[in-house]
Amino acid sequence: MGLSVADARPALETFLAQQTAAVRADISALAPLSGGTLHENWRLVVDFDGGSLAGRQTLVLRADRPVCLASSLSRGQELCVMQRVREAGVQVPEVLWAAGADGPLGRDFFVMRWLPGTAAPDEIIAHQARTGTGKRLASRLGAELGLIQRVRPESGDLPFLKPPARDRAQALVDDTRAYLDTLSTPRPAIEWGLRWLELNKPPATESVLTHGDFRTGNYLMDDEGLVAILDWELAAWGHPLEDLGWFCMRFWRLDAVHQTAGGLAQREDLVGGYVQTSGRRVTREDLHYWEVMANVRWAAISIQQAERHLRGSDKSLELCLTGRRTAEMELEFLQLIAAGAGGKDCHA
Amino acid sequence: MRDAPDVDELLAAARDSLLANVLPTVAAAQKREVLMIANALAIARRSLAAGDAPLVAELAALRQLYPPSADGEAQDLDLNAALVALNARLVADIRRGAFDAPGPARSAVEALLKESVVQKLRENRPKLVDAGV
Repeated sequence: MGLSVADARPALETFLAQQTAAVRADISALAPLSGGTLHENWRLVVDFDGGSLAGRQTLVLRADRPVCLASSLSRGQELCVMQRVREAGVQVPEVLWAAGADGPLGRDFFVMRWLPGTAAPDEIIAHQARTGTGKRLASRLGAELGLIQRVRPESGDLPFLKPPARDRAQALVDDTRAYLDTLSTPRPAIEWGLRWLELNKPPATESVLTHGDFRTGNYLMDDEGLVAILDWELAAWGHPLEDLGWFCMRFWRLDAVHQTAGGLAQREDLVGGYVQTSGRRVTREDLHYWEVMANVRWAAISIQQAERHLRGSDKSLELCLTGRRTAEMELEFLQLIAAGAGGKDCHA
Repeated sequence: MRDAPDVDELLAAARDSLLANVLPTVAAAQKREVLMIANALAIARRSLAAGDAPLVAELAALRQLYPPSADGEAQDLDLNAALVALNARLVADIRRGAFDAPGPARSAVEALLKESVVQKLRENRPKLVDAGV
């Protein structure tokens, strides 16, 4: 499945020199960054001799791990999504080049500019609590979501994305049921959630670009605030409130459970920023529905994560432990359903 | 007989040693992995201590919903097979809308689902149950 990044160093140097028309490019430092279970990220310090980036540059190389979810985008496609949302005004790193199996790594990767800041959820949540800036950050993230949604399928952009579903909520319910049908163990709690989602569906609405994994952990921030939104490999055409519900899921709040927007602030703070750039009205019922959806889907995905380990394709303790967390999402959506949209904790 | 210490004591000693002797010596990048190992040992210990009791309780709750006499279902299934069979039936009923209407059957299913989820959390993440979520 291709070379390790360290082994590919000479080939990468040649690639970098070619892309910038430099005389040569020397990688003077190469260090792994925290990646995740699907990708590996490396920080590169490169000295370019001439060419379009002459001088010392700090870059990030993002490559597929040998095992990759079939539904996620290739690095070349992710690059296109990031360039498109950047044009729409979304704060994302500048992606420079991508290469595939025929490139220097023998597998998919792209190179983007390195940016300062942290994406570690515990650090971000602790920082916001200490400095009292969580409301501002949540509102800013909501505003970014509104900008992301300016990218629409009608524009003909991003033709590699799966065509939008006419009824996104029903499509997600159907997909999740189809997945549960492949399992040997029945999951009545998730079925309960799916039935509720089917019976309480909002009317179908226009499709917008969704990030697909918009949460604390997938953006960079520093002392000044938001630096960039990361990890676009699950981008898809979806419902406007899908990313908002996902962001508010209890799971991402860590111990800050009462900070309902990503452990940072209240749901209404996120929605406040979103309304400003989207011009869309968000009711408490709407957001409640999509938060239930997020928990039901993440419960099913957590089973899928454990299966990757159990099938032996991708042995990992982290994946095992994710499988033991399914009940957290199950309890959360059972409680959200029982409480209804007007229940405590629903402020938006 | 097995020699002492028993499984529970072995797992506890392994976890204590990992946290006291290994964790302080590893590089920052590996600390998360060590904490995950400690968490896995704690979950394994709680699951072993609970034994079959949570599964027996889940089966009893399912049998309240689907009394064995009513459907002539085989009684000689082992515990896991019986749970799979009854949960599969519950899943099919939920999908076809058998519990859509408010009433005692719907309330019973809601209570059953919540209890079996809470049982899992008692092993996997007791902090959430203790917090009275």
